[in-house]
Amino acid sequence: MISGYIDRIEDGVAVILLQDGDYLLNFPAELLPENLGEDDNITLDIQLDTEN
Amino acid sequence: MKNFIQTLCAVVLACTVFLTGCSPQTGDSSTGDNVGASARAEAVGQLTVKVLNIGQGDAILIQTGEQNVLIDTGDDKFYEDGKKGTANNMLFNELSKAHVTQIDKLIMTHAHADHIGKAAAVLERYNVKELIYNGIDRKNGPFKKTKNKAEELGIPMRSVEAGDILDFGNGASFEVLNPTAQKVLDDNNAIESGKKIEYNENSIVGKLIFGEFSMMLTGEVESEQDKDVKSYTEQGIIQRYPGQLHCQILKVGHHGSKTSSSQEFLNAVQPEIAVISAGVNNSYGHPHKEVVNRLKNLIGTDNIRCTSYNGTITITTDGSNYWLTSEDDEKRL
Repeated sequence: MISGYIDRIEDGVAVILLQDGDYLLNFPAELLPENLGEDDNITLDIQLDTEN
Repeated sequence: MKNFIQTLCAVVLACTVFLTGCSPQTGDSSTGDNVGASARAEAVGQLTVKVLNIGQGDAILIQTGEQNVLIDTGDDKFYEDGKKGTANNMLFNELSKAHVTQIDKLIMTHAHADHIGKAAAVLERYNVKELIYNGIDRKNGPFKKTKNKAEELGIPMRSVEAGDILDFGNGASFEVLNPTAQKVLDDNNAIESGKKIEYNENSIVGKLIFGEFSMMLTGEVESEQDKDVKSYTEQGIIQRYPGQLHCQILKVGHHGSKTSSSQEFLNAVQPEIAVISAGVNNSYGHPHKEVVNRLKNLIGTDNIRCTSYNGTITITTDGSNYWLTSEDDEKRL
């Protein structure tokens, strides 16, 4: 599990800082789960899709 | 040898500019407005403002001869292609070039990493006397890290709000126009109750004043997207300070993003020179062409500088005239 937080929203891009700022992920803000936004701490879980 | 000759030419040119006041990018500062005029002291010596080339972010060094003031620090790391994850020490290099060993005031305009990512490291390195922020207590990221570092080092931390005037020494002052006390109160209450706030809205915006010279510093305050004018937007600032926003120099808001620098705000400031801080090949397309075109129409291409094109941009003033130079002053947006 990767931890991070949403530092800011830049023109529709959620700027997510991961692992205490070691990495930055630009993520489409419109694809964020509902009610998530600037300032929220998040976890990121990436898994292999075995069905497609 | 070629480098030596280039350096020598640059030094001679700089000396010529200071001795004669003759440069294509000079200005007369006699049109300054009257915000807080009664509190202003006489300008002593020269004031230098450097919009530092620190990648994607903001860092502005103000040197009055009496104080070194740093407004924002840029990001802690590089996140662009080719440098991802490596430490961004461009700020330290720029401060070394400016012979800075101590910072009297570190001002954090707002709690985004591209503005204050390096702030904790600055506190550790530069014997900072005072840490100033907008009164919004963010609970994570570089703000929390910086606040903890300030407490550890015993560095006093205080907030400012619209109406405050900071003394930068030798007659230079900074008049705070944003955020309002009410907005800060509302947003801190919102944070405590788990509601979302927009950190850009609380950016410290203010006028740097030195004699008849003035420069508008904008943080990331944004323009109104609908007709419901709010007090913390560019339009709100215009309403609170009607006819009082003119400045010779504008540090363009939000790295030249189209979410800032509305035509109304540009008309209110009526700058002669616009300066943008943005990183080379940044992920966000800053500065946006809409803003650049607005500025070109208002003041012409030759009066716009951007750190991603021109490197560190330096403005020097004696309180009457000002001089603009940059590391690569031939390039234009």
